[in-house]
Amino acid sequence: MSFDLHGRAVLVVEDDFYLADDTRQMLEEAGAEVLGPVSAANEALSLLEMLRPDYAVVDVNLGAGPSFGLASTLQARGIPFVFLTGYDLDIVPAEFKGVPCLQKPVDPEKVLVALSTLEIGVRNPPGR
Amino acid sequence: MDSGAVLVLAPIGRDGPAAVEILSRIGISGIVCADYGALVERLGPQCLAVIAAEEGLYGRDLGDLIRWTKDQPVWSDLPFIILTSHLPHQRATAWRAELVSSLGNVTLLERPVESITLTSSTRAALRARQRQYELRGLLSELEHGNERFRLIVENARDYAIILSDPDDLIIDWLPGAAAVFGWSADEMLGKPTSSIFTPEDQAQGVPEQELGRARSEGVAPNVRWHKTKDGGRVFLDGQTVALRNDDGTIRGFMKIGKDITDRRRNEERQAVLTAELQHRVRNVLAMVASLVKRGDATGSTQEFRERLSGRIAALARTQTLLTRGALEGVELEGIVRDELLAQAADAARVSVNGPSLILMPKAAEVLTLAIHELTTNAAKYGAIGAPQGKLIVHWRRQPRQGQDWLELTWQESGVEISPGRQTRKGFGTELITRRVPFELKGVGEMQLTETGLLCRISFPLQPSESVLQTDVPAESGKENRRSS
Repeated sequence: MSFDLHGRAVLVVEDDFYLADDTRQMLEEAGAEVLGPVSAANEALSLLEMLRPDYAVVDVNLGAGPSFGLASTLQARGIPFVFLTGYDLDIVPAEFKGVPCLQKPVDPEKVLVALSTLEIGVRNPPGR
Repeated sequence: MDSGAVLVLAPIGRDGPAAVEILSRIGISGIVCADYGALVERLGPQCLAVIAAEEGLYGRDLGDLIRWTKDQPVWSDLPFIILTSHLPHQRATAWRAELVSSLGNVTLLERPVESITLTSSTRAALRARQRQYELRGLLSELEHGNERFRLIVENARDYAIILSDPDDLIIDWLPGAAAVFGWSADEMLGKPTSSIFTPEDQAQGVPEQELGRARSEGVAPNVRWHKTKDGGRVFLDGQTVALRNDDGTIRGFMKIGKDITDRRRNEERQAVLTAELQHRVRNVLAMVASLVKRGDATGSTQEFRERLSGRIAALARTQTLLTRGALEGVELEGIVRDELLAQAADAARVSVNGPSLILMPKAAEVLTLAIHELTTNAAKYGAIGAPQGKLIVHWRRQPRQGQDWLELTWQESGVEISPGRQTRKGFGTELITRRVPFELKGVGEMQLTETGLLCRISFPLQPSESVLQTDVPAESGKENRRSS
């Protein structure tokens, strides 16, 4: 699977260092510029104050149970993202139905595949 | 006790015995009363009817008889058959009218009376009396039934039962409702039933939706949190039933529900624990996958396998400690000593000291692995392995910017360091210098001094929390625990 993310900035929000680092490495190998990784929602939010990523990879649980505040912010700003979760998929609220959701342990390649579906959405936005 | 007899009062001549004789021919037993006093004495519920000649009553004080008649139980209306007498005309008319109205259920037979007239009148009276007895039976059954229902309803303390009128204002607040919600009947009568719904449900119009459904479908399920007097929440599993009049109009509503708060909380806790378990299992597997991936690929497979199994074992030790029970952190000194023990470090050359300190799960996990890496490294290249080597591990709590920090120092000495040797940029170094800042928001430094490795790890201590509460989904409702 090769997927070119050159010229794309991807925000990585994941509280597990190794998973975050693996994801960073994999994204960089695909040519992306990685923002973060950060391990907490507030760090991600302050990063979003200054930078606008093309995509984001977001862990559902950042240490204090499932939370979706950051996801709402991303959605509100029109930044496409994928979820990573250690929980069952049904923990994701209905409003994020269209968001790709990957269950841990995650094969890094799958993150790329999921991002590619976002890329298609960006290039062919619905409603055209 | 006289059972089922007609009382006959005809004190003059043979009229009394004659009447009893006539009745007995048609199977009715009669009792002759010698005078008015004897009649009053024999009155009772078992008495079927009274046949009295006017002369037995005329001129007497009928107060007792009239009083008895008026005081009969609700089902009873004793039939009187009065046989007229030739009384002085003017007074008789008024007296008779007064008698008839006082006794109520009176049949007046004018003498001379044909026996067929007497028997048919008596039969009619007895049939009416029989109906009264049937009514008595029904009333008593009803009373027993009501009493039974009352006992059941008043003793069902886990069941809240509430009756309301067509406008859903409470008209009956039974003891079960008082026990479940805390409000007394006095506090709740006349209030709308919606006042037991949570403010959230009230805002969303849930009470009205429920009534609407009860109106259209007869019954609406009511399975939700409600509020209680003390500001807590109680989970009811029940329903609201529309009560209808014969013509189909709504007479009111009955809400009945079982308090299953405890069961509900257990279910929620179970769900939380299950989700947590799932999350942990996945995390552990992800972590093991990372350990495999990040293992130093230099050296033999044998070496790789040893390092990996050592790391997995260290991970397993923390997991065992952390999952031992709720509210369980891990004692820092235990972590350090366990790892030193696993490397058979010479206790005489090792000094471990610091305040007693319980680490929360994330910190315990990272620190266990860090100490594991430092210890195996020291056994191979550093103070534990070197014959003259010494190791000091000490830690303290230190306030920094309003937060308690742990500052841990790992200092090796007595180790010959070849000039130019660098710390290995392996798994352990990455763990300490990169994972500690990322996950614990702290600082991890490693440097080689002339006599051995010096490592400093510091990070903010989290306020104590249970291992079983970290990484747990927030409770779905935000219910307060009931005070009961």
